[in-house]
Formats: sequence, C-alpha cells, structure tokens
Amino acid sequence: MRVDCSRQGTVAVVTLAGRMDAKSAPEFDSACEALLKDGVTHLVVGMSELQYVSSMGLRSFLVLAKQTKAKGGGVLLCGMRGFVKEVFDMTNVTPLFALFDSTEAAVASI
Amino acid sequence: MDDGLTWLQLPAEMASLARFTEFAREGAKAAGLPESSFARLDLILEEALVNIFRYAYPAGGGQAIVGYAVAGPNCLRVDVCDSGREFNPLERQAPDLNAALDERPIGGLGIFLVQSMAESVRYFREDGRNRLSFQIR
Repeated sequence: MRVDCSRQGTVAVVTLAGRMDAKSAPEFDSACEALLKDGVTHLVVGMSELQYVSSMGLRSFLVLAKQTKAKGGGVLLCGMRGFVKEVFDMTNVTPLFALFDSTEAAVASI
Repeated sequence: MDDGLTWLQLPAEMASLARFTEFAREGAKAAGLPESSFARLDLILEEALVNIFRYAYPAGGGQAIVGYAVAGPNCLRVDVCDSGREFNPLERQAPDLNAALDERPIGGLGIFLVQSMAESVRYFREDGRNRLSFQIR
C-alpha cells in the first residue's frame, strides 16, 4: 500500500493506493497518528486508488473517526469505490463518515 | 490431513499472509472462480488467518495450515487450520452494526464479513485442531 500525506494547518490529505490488509494497515495508522499528534483535526482520505480493505483497515478508520471526533474534527472519505465500498457498506460503516467524490471537494467543505 | 485437499503449512505469523493468499489464488483459478471473487477470497482467508496469527498460540511459534479443493463448478472450498487453543469464531456474537460512532464496536467485523461473503462456513474441532472450512463462488 502507498500512503501519501500532505497538510495545510489542521487539515491533512492522506491518499491511499493499493491494498490495506492486516500487514499494511499499521502504516496508515502510524501516518495518521503522527498527524493527529501534530495538531491535525481533520483527515481527508483519498481512496479512489485503494483496491482492498479488510477488517483491520475498518478498525483503523473507526479508531481515527473516534479520535478526530474527540478533537472536534473528523475523517472525510473521498472516492471510495469497488470492493472497498462493498466492505464499508456490508458492515454499515459507511454512514459513520462524510463522503465526497474528491479530496478537493472534501477540503472545501471544512 | 488428506481429504483430497491441496495443503500449505507455514509459520503462524503475519509474514506468511502473502504466500497463503497466493496459494489460495491458485485454488481459485483451478476452481474457475471469476476474478471478481478474488478480493472476497483474500478477505475471508485473511480474517481467518489473522485470528490464528494473533490468538491461537499465546506462547508464540505454531503453524497455520491452509488447504483448498474444487468443490463444484465455479466453487472453491478452503480450510484454515491451526493446532492452537480451541476457538470457534462462529460462536462470537454479531457486532451491533447500527450503533452510533461512539458506541460502535471496533472488533467482530472480520468474522461478520467472512460469514457475509462466503457461500458457507463451518467450524470443526478435531484431533486437537481448529478447522474453519468455507466455500466461495
């Protein structure tokens, strides 16, 4: 999995590509933890190139949603599709997040 | 451990996940599963294996064993075994999928996904082994 981060003030854009499985999910966790520790409150996650997610990835997203909410922020999911959307929908995790077509649209909404 | 299945045994650790996934994909191709089923196969296998990697052998070490067989037209059977402590994941209570974020459980989603995505799932305890057997189309 590739994890690319950029940041402007308290908003960070994290773009994911590839497969988020039990082995790679911790890479996403540690990238986001570092951002939150450094004052980020809103995580905009680009998911259009993410092809796979398992329950370990869902766990990461749920933990981040709780952590950012506690800071008055949130996690915004962008471009979710295919199998990843199937997993989020099947577990009814999708309604817990704000969804956007693009990271630009998500950033503009904050 | 014959049963007409093709088997692979590897250390019960995260580093084995990719090889097990590759191995099960060989079964998927042999069974004629459509490529659109591969991600579901990967997920079911991952959830079963990660449970073993994390919980089956509290003292460390131990092996995980995966077997596959063609179960019918476009149907693959996969068995995931360990000889660690007894654990039937199917007995786990289903997570509350309607809870709000603050109350939403973080765990239990893996086995829920397995049960949702597999055609069938069964658990056996035999000869000191846990055996989770599933079929996928």
